[in-house]
Amino acid sequence: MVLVTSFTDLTAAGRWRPALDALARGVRLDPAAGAERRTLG
Amino acid sequence: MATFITRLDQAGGGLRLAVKDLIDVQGTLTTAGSKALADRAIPALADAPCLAGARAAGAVIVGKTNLNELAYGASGLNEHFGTPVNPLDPDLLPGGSSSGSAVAVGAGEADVAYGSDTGGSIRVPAAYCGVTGLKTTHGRVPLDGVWPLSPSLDTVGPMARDVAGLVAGMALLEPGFAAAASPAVSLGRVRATGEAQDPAIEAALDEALARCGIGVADLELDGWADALTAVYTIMAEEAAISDGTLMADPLSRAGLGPAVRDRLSQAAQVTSEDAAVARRFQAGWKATFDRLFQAAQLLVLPTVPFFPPPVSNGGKEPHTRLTAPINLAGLPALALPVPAPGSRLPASLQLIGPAGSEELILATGAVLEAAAGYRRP
Repeated sequence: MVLVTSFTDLTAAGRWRPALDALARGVRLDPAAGAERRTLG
Repeated sequence: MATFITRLDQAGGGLRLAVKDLIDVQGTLTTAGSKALADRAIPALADAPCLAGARAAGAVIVGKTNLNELAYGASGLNEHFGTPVNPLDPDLLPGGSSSGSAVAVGAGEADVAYGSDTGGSIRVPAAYCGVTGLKTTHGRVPLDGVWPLSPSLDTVGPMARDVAGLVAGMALLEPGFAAAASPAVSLGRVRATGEAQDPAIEAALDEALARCGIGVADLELDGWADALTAVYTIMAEEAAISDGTLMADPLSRAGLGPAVRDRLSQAAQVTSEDAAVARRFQAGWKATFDRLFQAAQLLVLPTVPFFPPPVSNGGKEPHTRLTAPINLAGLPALALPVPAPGSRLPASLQLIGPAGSEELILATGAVLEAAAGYRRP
């Protein structure tokens, strides 16, 4: 995992444009699909 | 003396209030931690409206506090005015951007401090300095007279040594404010899928929750990395506009520190179309939190997933990974120090609520604070 702290870090790592393109394609536009609940009790 | 950029010696017997130096205080310069801005600023002609309640209550403004330059950073480092000294350990970063505000309350130089939070700038320094901080709901506290970074994400909120101090701070920002009569009855322990966590910090939060007597449900939240992409994109687009006049003027640009100049140069590449993509994601992200709040009244996760790093590391750590996505959702969030077993430093618990739930967050924060029993050295 590449840890980033800012937009600058994202761009320096070359990850910003691909990540934004992925958002634009709607690949991960519904993060709620990944939210799930379980009870600890 | 890096905690304050300007010391004030105002008379009065009310609460001692420190004000982040991007909030206008009549008769003083607003530097936003930047020499470039300080060199072209004139003393503010009027207070920012968010100070009206403090003035009416007779608060004593003790000074304008230091910050990351233009609030565009979260390390607390400032090459122009020095770096405020972390009261827990001088070798550790104070966090930012509201570094001086956290240090002022942590060192006992103010009862309440005002900070601003666009991606974590109240919560991160609160975590690093072992104090409390409240990021308010976007739009709850007026931003007129506050130097902008990213207006759609910017917020003003209080910092203090404990939750009672935050309640007092909110009552200054919003006269009549009081914590809710009862705490939340259900909490959601959020695991941000894919995010690295320090086991000691996770254990500290779980211990505090186990002691507080409130029901806890475990919730998993996907999409965190996408939320970071979106929030950093929006922040960059708006920061390039907010600070565009400084970057366009050769003299001012030359006066900026290299770190913030580089950030603003990079930010200028973000187009309005890019930001529109991020805002489309933002709408879904907010809806995700709406659904989470159907499972629990308030949500809990760490404020920062690691303990405060050494100053000598240069401040490059991912300070805002667990805070900035909350700004994207526009939600209020408390940073609360809790003891971390086996560590001399506290962890920081982040307590997040629906829009406008500051009263419930602080009532619940007081219960968690008492249960966790963190005592400042």
